[in-house]
Amino acid sequence: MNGKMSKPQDLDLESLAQTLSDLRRSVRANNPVLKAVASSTLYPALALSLGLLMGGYCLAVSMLPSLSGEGSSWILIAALLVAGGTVKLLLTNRIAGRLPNGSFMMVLRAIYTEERQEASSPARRFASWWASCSYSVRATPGSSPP
Amino acid sequence: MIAIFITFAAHTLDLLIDLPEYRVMAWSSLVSGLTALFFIESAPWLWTGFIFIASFCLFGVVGLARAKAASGSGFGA
Repeated sequence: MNGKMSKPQDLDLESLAQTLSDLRRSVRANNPVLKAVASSTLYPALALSLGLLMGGYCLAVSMLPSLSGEGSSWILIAALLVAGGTVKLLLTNRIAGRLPNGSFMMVLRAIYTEERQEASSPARRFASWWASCSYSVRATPGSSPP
Repeated sequence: MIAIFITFAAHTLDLLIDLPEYRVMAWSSLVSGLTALFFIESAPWLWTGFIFIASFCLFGVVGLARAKAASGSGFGA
């Protein structure tokens, strides 16, 4: 009897958890801050120019080994990567600053807070399962307090 | 190895914001990184250049095409 009674509740909880998960995923996919920052055309333009520059240099060194000094080419590639990363951080800061109440920290929070919430979902599932168990025990006539 | 790490970051960003250029970058860096892993010792510069062009340039081309398509549909709407 108790098992039969708890099954619809489990199904309700499962469907509720599924709905919440879908809702969270759709909200995350349409996060306006992340979407506004990441959909800027500056990132693809920067990546295209950096990729052409570094790829072209690597291919040139591969075809003409005389261009490569003693490790200096790798230092140049590393310096280009660091410069590209710095420019990207500055771009992100500038784009986020244009948004209403936007800042670089807001973008970081939008990325990593959602990740932390997602990472804690097994604990939340356990908590909801535990709550459903205690609810089904309390709902049985014999176990109710006098 | 860095290209394979970029794969995870790009896939995570794609899950968060659902933009096609990050999906393309994730898969292209995965394929180019795994391919180059076996041949990079024989010609390191060639395969490093291949990884850069495959991941960064594809990201740039797809991103610019997506932005162009979005602005075109925006004018049409």
